Amino acid sequence: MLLALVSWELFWRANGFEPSLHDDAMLWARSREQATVQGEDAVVLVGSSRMQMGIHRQTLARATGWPPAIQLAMVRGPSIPVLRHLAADEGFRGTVLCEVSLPLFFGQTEGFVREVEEIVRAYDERTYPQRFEHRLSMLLQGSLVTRLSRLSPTVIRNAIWFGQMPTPRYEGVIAEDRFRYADYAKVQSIPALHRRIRNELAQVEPVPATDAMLEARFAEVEAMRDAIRARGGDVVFVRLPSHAMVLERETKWYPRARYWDRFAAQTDAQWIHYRDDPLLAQILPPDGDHLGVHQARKFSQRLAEILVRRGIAPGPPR
Amino acid sequence: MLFNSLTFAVFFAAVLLLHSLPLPWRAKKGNLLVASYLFYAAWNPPFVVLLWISTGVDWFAAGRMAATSSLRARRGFLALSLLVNLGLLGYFKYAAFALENFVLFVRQFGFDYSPAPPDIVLPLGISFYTFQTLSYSISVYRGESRPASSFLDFALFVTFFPQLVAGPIVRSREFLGQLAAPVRANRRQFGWGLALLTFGLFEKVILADAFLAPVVERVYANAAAAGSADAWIATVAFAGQVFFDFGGYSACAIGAALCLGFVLPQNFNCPYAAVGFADFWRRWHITLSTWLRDYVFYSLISLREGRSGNAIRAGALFATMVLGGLWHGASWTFIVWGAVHGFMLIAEHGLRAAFGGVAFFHSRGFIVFAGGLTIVLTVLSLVFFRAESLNDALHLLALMFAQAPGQLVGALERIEVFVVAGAMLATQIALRNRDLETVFMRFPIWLRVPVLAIPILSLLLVPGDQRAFIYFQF
Repeated sequence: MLLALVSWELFWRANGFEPSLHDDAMLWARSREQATVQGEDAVVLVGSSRMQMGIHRQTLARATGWPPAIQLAMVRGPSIPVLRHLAADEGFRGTVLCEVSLPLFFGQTEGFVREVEEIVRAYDERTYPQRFEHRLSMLLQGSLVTRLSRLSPTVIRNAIWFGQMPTPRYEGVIAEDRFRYADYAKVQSIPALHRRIRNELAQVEPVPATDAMLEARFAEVEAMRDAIRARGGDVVFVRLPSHAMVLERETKWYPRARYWDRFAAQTDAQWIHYRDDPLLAQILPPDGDHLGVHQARKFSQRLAEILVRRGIAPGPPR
Repeated sequence: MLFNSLTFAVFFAAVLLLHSLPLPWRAKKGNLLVASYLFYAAWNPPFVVLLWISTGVDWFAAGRMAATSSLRARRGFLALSLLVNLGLLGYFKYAAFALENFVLFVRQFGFDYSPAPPDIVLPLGISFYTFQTLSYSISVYRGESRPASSFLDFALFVTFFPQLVAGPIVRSREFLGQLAAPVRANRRQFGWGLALLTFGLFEKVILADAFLAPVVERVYANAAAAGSADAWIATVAFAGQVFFDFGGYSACAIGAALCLGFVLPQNFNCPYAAVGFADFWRRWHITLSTWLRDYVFYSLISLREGRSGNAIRAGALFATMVLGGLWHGASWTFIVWGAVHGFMLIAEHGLRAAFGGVAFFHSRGFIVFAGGLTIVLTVLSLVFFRAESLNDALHLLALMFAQAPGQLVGALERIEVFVVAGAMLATQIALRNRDLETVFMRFPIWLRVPVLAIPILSLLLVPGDQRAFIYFQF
């Protein structure tokens, strides 16, 4: 039996799979806890998978002089529910780098918001037995590729039935810090990836916000930022890069002038849009939204330089 | 704490270790009691208080009943036990349902009454442990059992972790006797206990959760978009899921207890191989059906003593099954499910009375037909058990007898459902009149090894998502 187990594990490792933690509510809760525990030293990243894969943890820490950031971004995650949770937490006194993805930040995305709210609620309601169970699960997930959800019975069944052998994804593995580093060398064909993404985008019908909704959102964001500032923290709004095929569509439904520029003009928040910086504007995600690991390093380095220049971050120790 | 969790594996290993230490029997029972409270508190610690209330009240009531010869006093103490246990159950499980229906009722008369929905959390396993303690009080009242001689023993009878949250519903006479003298599993019991744990987890994690649950959830959550074939496949899948889920839990409970040297009653015995509904209820959730028979059906019959005609028996049977349905959940779907089974049982008793003597009805061909009819009707009744609402249930049933297009379930999943459900049915028919342990022990070693190794390997290799057991919600 042991032989069978070891063989199965080695087979998938030989096919390029690596152990990865499940990026679930309990793993998010561990990071969220740190955001409060670290007090005024906490640097927190909030947003979607763009933020999860767009920032290189060590590079950002080295170049800003900040402690390593806490990753609270999540796949398809609108920033607002997490920002709301941080603002309401009297114990949170850190700095937030908040991703502004126009559709997720300003659009009508109730389904995604509910998903994030559930994860946030799970943090508030988690019990010690759940934490203990999660620690045990992490031990297994971090050691065995056979615990990957990508190797679940459904995937294996499809592999057998349709001859579709599961392959490792380029989006990277999840470690305890929840950062992901994409490796586009694992993508067999970038044009094919673009075709798939264009098809997926074509199936999504964005729902823009009304003026009243926008005003309410601006006011809420400002109030949240003020609450965090009042405790000694800060919020910096960041627009991470998009590939032309995503940007084109986003601009059509969410014109920058109506959303980002209005937001920037109406609030006195710190904000950084990648297109406003010639170096950042050159770093484009190959799959539309997510930077590769080398790009994430470059992006983090340049972002850190801007943060230091504006006096938000202290800069690297001399 | 879920049996299908890593925490349980650590917890159970610690309990086994403690139980094997050379400690006095009283200390070992104390360990088991503390472990059982920990097991329960792992879900929601404050609700342990409810367990203490139920334990304390029934200990007191049964003790006072045994100490007095006054029928009036005995009835009073029984009433106390019923009031507290059914009161807890009623409040936590049925208050919201009762309020919802009360609001609907008064609105029929033009009253615009809109109370805030009560925010009541259903304590885990309350339906099981209240029935268990009630059986103790009722059997002491009836003089069928003597009260426990030790509070520790009684508390452990109520709280014993393998059966605490989802049964089997153990009777005091089955368990208290096992606490009188030290018990420790012998090698055979320990081995078979571990095998049952393995089989139970395999049924739950692999068969119920990995193979069948996704199909069931997709169709029952999108009843409006389902086609006829979807409705049939999802309902067949649910028949398998609910059996593997609850049967798996029962196997784990019995196995875990056996590893500690305790024998719990069988809860499932190849129910889908039943011939007729009476036979089905002798095989499905046996400890609940015998509880309902002994404490509800017989009580209803005895209320009408001297007038025990067929109509009275039929009425009592119907009421018992409706209450049995309601026990499963505070919803009209469960009430209808219970009523359907009640009606089937009455019809079956009627047919047996009318045609029981005719030789044809004892022929092999008719028995096969009756078995087939039983399973089809059982599966159809499960639509009410699983559907989110009565409307959904009626819609899905209508779909099953129409030719509606729609394909929520793919071809491969259909094959999977039929293979798993077919294998389940074939196994149950093969084991219908046999004991699983005896059959397994007769296997040659070359067959025993893979029969055990395949479930173990599957459990180790499949990344489960730790769904709770279906019967936890009851």
